[in-house]
Amino acid sequence: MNNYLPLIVAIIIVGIVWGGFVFFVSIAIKFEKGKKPKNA
Amino acid sequence: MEKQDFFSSRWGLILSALGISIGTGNIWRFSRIVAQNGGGSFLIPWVIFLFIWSVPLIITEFALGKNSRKGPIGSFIKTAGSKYGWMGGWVAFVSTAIMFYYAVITGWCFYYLFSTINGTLLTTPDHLQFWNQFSSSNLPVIFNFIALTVASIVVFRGVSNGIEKVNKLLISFLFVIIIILLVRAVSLPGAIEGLKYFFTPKAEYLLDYKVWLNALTQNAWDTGAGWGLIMTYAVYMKKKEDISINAAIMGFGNNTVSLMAGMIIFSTVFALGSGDPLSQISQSGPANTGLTLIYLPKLFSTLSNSYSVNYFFTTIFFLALSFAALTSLISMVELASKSISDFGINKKKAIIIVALIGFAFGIPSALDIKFLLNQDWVWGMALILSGAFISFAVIKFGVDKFRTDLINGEGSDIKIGKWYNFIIKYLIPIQAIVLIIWWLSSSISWDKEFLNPFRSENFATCIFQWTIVLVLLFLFNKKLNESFINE
Repeated sequence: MNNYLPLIVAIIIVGIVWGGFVFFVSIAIKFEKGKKPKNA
Repeated sequence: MEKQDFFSSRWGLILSALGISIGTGNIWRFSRIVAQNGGGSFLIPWVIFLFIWSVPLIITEFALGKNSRKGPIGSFIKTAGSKYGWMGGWVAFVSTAIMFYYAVITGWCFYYLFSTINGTLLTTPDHLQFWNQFSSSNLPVIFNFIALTVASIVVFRGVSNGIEKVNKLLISFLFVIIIILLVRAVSLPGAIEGLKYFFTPKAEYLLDYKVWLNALTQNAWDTGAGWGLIMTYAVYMKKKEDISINAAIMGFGNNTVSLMAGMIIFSTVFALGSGDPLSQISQSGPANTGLTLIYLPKLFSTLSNSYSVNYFFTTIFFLALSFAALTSLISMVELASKSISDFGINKKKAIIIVALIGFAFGIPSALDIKFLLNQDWVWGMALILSGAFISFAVIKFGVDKFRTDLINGEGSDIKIGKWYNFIIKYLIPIQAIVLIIWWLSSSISWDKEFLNPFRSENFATCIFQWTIVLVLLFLFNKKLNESFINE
């Protein structure tokens, strides 16, 4: 178990921080696309 | 009346906001603090405080600036009431005082980039000697001047033509450089040991309250939350712009860069270092430059047998560091000049005033590292009080009203829930009080002459300098208010 501990922590920490960053950027992209006029 | 300038796009605003938060603290301070606080054990509270300090304060600053269309003083008067203009004055003064010595640090980064490009840094036999020669010469003053001139020119060009364009370019490049460095660092033989330490939590550290307080401090200093800088950029965001998602991108983006920088440094030092790698990372050295300006250049010069490869990676490392420092300095110059121009002074004149005063007041820090450390201690600590003042302004306005009318108002893509009320009303003030008490009481224990205000980093110097500024702000509070109310 101890051998896998750094890997588990890495996945959780990197997952939250990088995952959060990518998640919010993708939501922002989605909202920006939605705001563009459809006939433009 | 000057025409209001705005960020031309959401991405321009986000990259500029990232430019505020991504600074030397991500590369320089983060790895050192992780090493001193048990590696992975530090990362857990560090992520928690992102949610209960940084992101809520970033959201608050965005809302304050967007709705008041004023710098910190005007924002506080409009939100907390005319009696509290001095609190906004405090926020503006603290970030300006930091700008005085941060321009010097930016100058150091420029000098190291310059020395890498001309080959002197990679060929020097003694990196400590190299630093000592530089820091004891007049070169820090010259590079302080260069850094402030560059930052002021960017601010002078305006928001959309200067700040936004430069941040779009530099922050995009910074991300590319950090990714290149990360790929190189983690693929070094032996890098895995560094990553293991970086991500392994140890129970004894996790249970140590000091590790938690250091994690909170890192969030308070590193994300740009509570500095008033985001408040100032938010003045130039359009009404239709969202607050909450932009704030989350800024907080998570900043910590993404910190994590990548930490992985680069731990991998490199464990792979290439000799002796105890942890002591190398956590050593402070003169003005905490040990890791970044002394040890890392030494390691980069042994990255491979090829001089060109070492030259390339050292150059892009100091390029990243210079970009990170410059984009933060730009926001400090903007805050100071916006605060002056809010009193009716022409913005361009205000920028020139800030550049001249900034250069003059930066000279003592450029010539004497002890003075720089003193200012870093006094005004770094003061930032925590700034964070508390910002939450006070919201409490005075009405937290729920602030959330529903200003944060979830026009332009919001998502609605922020009532969790925000709890954090601003209780958690931020509690965290600020605990941190201030902890740091000040620690400063009593580490200096026997803690009542001598003329020492570099102790209790009395902090209280003495804070008191002078607070008394002046109280005395001029009426004047501050009149200037804004008469508009």
